[in-house]
Amino acid sequence: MLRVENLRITLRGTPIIRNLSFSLDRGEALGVVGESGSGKSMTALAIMGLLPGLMRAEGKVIFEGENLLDLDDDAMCLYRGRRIGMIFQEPMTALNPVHQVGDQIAETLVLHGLMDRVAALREATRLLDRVGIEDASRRVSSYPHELSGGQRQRVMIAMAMSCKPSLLIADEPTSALDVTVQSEILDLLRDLRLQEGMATLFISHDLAVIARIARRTLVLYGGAAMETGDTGVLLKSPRHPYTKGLLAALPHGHSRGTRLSPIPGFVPAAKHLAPGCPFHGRCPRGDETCADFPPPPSFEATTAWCFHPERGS
Amino acid sequence: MIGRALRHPSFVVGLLITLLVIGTGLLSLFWTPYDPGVMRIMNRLRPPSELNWLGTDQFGRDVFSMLMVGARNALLVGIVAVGIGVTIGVTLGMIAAHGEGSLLDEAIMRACDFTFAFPAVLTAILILTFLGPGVVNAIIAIGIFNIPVFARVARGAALQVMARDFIRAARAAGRTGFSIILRHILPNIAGLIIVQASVQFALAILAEAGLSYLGIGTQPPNPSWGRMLNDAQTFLAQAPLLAIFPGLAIAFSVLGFNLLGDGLRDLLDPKTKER
Amino acid sequence: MTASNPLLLEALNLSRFYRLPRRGLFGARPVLKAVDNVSLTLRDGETLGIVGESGSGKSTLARMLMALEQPDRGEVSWMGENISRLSPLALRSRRHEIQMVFQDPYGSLDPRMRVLDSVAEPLDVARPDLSAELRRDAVLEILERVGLTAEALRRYPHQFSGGQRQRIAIARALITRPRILVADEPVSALDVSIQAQILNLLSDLRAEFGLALIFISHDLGIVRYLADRVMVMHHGKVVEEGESEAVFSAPAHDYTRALLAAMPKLDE
Repeated sequence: MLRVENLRITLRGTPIIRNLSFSLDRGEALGVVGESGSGKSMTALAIMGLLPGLMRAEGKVIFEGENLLDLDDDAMCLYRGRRIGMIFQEPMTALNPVHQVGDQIAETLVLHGLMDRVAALREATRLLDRVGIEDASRRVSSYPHELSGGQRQRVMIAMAMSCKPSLLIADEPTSALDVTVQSEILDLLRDLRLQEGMATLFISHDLAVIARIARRTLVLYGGAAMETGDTGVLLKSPRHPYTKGLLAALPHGHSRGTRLSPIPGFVPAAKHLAPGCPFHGRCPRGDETCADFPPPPSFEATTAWCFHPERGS
Repeated sequence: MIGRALRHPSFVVGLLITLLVIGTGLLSLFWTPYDPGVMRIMNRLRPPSELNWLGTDQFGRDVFSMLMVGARNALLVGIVAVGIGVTIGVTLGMIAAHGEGSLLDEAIMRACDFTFAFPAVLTAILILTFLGPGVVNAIIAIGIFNIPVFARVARGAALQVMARDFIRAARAAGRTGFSIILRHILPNIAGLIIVQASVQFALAILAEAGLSYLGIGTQPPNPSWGRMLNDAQTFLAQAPLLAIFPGLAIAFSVLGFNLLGDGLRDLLDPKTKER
Repeated sequence: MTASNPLLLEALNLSRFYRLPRRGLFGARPVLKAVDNVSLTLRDGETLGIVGESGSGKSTLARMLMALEQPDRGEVSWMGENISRLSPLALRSRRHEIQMVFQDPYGSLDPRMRVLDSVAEPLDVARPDLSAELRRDAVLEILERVGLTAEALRRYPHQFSGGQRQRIAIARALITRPRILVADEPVSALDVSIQAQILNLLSDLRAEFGLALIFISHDLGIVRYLADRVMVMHHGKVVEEGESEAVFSAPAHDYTRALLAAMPKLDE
C-alpha cells in the first residue's frame, strides 16, 4: 500500500535521507526508530509532502499506486488528512487554541466535503467517544487548554482518523506523555489499527515503545536504514552494530553497580557524516570500506545494511 | 554574524541612513557651507543653486547648513532622551521583575500605566508649559515618556529570562538578586533593549520636531527641523521647497532608525540565529 | 552499608501549595498541593531515587531541597542545620555543599556566557578571592574529568551538543566538590546512546567524589539501575518508599504497580 523507494532528501546538497526504501501493507504497523538527526521525522514529512521549503526530495513515495512526490500541493491536499492522517508529539501545537475541539474535528470532515457541518459535529462526538474521551457530548465544546495532555492526544487521534484514512503516521505521539497515559494511548492506537484497518507508521526514539506497538521495525541512523525486520527478532538478536549498541546502552535489565555500554562519541552534523555508512566512526566494527561505500543489505533473520553484520541466531 | 547582518536588507538600509544622519550631524560641528545663524536678507527665499544647494529661507540663511545643524540637534535630543529612558526605565524594570507580584512591582507598573494613559505629546506640552520652553526641557519631557516603555520591555524580558533554568542554576550556585541581574539577566535582554532604543530614538526625533514646530522645543537661533517646518509654513505658496526639505529630513531619519530597529530585531532574535 | 553513615540531607513534613486562579467571580481560589507532607533523608554516599510522573511534585520537592523555593510547611536541613534558620549570607556560604543538575541542557547554561565562566560560577561565589589562573585551572581540571578538553573553555553553550552541555552542567555542579548532588531528570532530554554515557559518568563521579545523590526521574528503568533507595511520588505525596530492589520486584502500593505495568518493556 505504501512503498518508499530510494527516497533521498537533501538540504543545500547535504544528504538528510540517503536511499531509504521500505514498504507498509494494509493494516500493518511499522515502527521507525532512531535518535535525533536520524531523519525519522523528515521521512514522515516527505510522505505527507510537508518538507521545509529548502529540502529537496527524490525517489518515489508510492501510496495506493500514486507517486506522491510527483503531486503538486493541490493534489496532495486530497491525500493529506483524507487518505493519510498524522499525529504529532505535542498536540498542543497542532490544535488551534481558540477553537473548540469538536469544531476542529468537524472542520476536517467539512473541508474534504465528506459531510455538512451538522453531521460533521455529530460525527465529531462519535469520534471523541471512539478514542476514549469520557462524556464526549460535553467535551466536543471544550477548548484544547481545558484538556490534559493525554486527552489532547486523543483529540488529535480523533482528528487524524476522522476521514478514515488508510495510513496513519504517528510521530513520537507518546513521548511527551506520562508512562501510564502513554500505555493507554498505545493500546488505543493498536485497537484502532486492528478495528479500522489503518496501517500505522509509528515513529519513536524509544525501542520499548516500538516493541509494544509494531510487528516490524526499521532502525534509522544519520538518514540511512541500518536494520529492519521482525521486531522481536531484531530486539533479541540484532545484527547491525548500531542496533546492538542502542540496546546495550539501555539501563533496563542492567543490575546496579554494573556499567552501561554507551555508544562512544555523539551524532555528528549531517554534513560531517561519512559518505559510506553514517555510523562509521562510532562503530566498533567499522573499517575503511565503511567510510567510503554505502553498505549493501545483508539478508538473514533481519536485513542489515552493513559490511560486517553479526551472525543472526 | 556580520556576514548575515550585511545580507539583511532593512538592517543595511537602516544602518546606512543612520550613519548618514550621524555623519552629517558630526560634520556640522566642524564645517557647514555657511554659518546657519547668519542672515543675509538680500538673499532671502532663493531657490536651490550652486551657491545655496537647497536654497535659502526667509532671512537668507542657508537651508542646507541649517539642516546639518538640525541633524545634530535631533540626534542630541534622541540620545539624551532615550538615554534617560533606558537608564531609569531598565532599572525600574529590573526592580519590578525582581520583586514580581510585590507591592513595589505593582506600584512601578501602575505608574507606567498611568503615564501611558496620557497622549505623549500632549503631556510633553503640559510639562513644557510648567518648565518653560527650551531644548533641555524638551529632552526631559521626551525622556520621561521613554521611561515606562523601557521599564515594561525590560520587566517582560527579564521575567522570561528568569523563568529559565540557568537562573535557577545561578541561584543554586549561590548568586543572589543583584549579581544575577548583572551577570545573567542584563546580557540576555540587551538585544531587546537595543532594538527598542532604536525605535524610541525615531520617536524622540519626531517628538522633538513636533515640539519645536509648536515653538516650545528648540529655541531660536538654534536650527531645528521642526521649527524650520513651522517657519516655512508662512511661505508655503512662494517657496514650497522650504517645507519639503526639513520634512524629508525628519521622515528620512525616522525611517532609518525604524529600519535599523527592525533589522536588529531579526538579527538579535535567538530564534533566527543560525543552527 | 549506609544506615550508620552521617545524615547529610533531611526534609521533615515538607509541603508546598500553589493557589490556582479562582473559578468564577466569587469562588474560593482552589489550592494545588504540589508537595504534600513529604519527609526524606539522605545519608553520605547514598543514592536516593525519586520516581513520579508529571505533576507528582518531584521537581518542586527538588527545588525546596535546594533552597530555591520556600516550603509552606516543614523544614529542610543540610548537614544537620535547619536552612530556614540560616541568614541569607550563611545559606550562601553552605551552597557549595549541595549542587544541582537540571533536565534541559539547553536551558540550564546561560547562552551568553563562555563555558569557562559558566562552570566557574559556583566557585566565584564560594571562593571570590581565587586568582584568574587558579580559577581557570580548577575549571579545566573538572572539565577534563567529565570528558571535555581545554578547547571548550572559550566556547559558548550553543556550540555543543545536548550530551556535551550536560557534561558542562555536571562539571559546573561538581566544581565546588559538593557532598550532595540533586539531579532532576538529567538524561531525559538526551538520546539513548548519550544517556548511557552520562549515566556512566554520574556513577563514576559518584564513586570518585563520594557523592550522595538524589536522582529524580520518570524513567523507572534508570532509577532502578542507579538508586539504592527509591521514593515513589503521586499527586504530591510519597506513596511508597524502600530499598530499590524491593520496591521494583515487589511493589506494595497500587500506583507503583500500575506504573511498573505501564512501563513498556523490550521483551513484550
